[in-house]
Amino acid sequence: MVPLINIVFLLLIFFMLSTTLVAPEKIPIEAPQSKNSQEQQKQQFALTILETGDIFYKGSKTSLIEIFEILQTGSQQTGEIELLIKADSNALTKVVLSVLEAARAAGVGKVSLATQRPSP
Amino acid sequence: MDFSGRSKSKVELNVAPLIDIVFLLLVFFMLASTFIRPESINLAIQAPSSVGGQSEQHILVDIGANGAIRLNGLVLTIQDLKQELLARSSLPQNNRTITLRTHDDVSVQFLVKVMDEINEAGYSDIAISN
Repeated sequence: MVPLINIVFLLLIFFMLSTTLVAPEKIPIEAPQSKNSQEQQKQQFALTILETGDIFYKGSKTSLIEIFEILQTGSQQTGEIELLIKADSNALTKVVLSVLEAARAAGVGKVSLATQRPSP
Repeated sequence: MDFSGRSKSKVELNVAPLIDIVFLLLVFFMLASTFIRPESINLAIQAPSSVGGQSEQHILVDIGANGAIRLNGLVLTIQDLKQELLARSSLPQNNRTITLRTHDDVSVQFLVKVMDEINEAGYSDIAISN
């Protein structure tokens, strides 16, 4: 009995330590595949860009101007902020570039684009 | 010495409910865990420094509407891009920054693919513009 409990405890500890509980994405996107990506850091600001070109922030659709204002107030309050763009792989680059430009104008310190490993 | 007097009190820990809870926790963590780590690539935030104003050393990669790639005006396929960039990086007076200009109607996946190729050729500074 005791060895069994030991093993179960070990498994429990393994799963508790190794898990990263990720909140399920409200707006699912198919991130572009990249071979040279790094592990994602926790970002304060994350935007989702759909295939249609719609931009979502915190689950609601926003315009480019609203995003600029959000980022500007964010960077004024906390200094250097980091932005994560979760763009669908079929989204057009013009939307990503306009967001990038808005981030640049708002004084964002670092912008990264969410990717996924190519499936083998 | 006689220690038997102590064990007579018969305090027995009932482990069955404990095991139940531990099993439940185990099942929860096994089901809830995700081992896929989210990944990302960095995008350069700084504006591309005066495109065209620099000498020929400056490397400009252009992505056209239909996915055609031009490296300083030279039309290439995505397979040849890395080779061509590697050939250029061996030049002594190379400039490690690349300006990547994309057409508006290029998909993000293709942009990332081109950025991958450029990264693999050893260039880490990619300024994107349109």
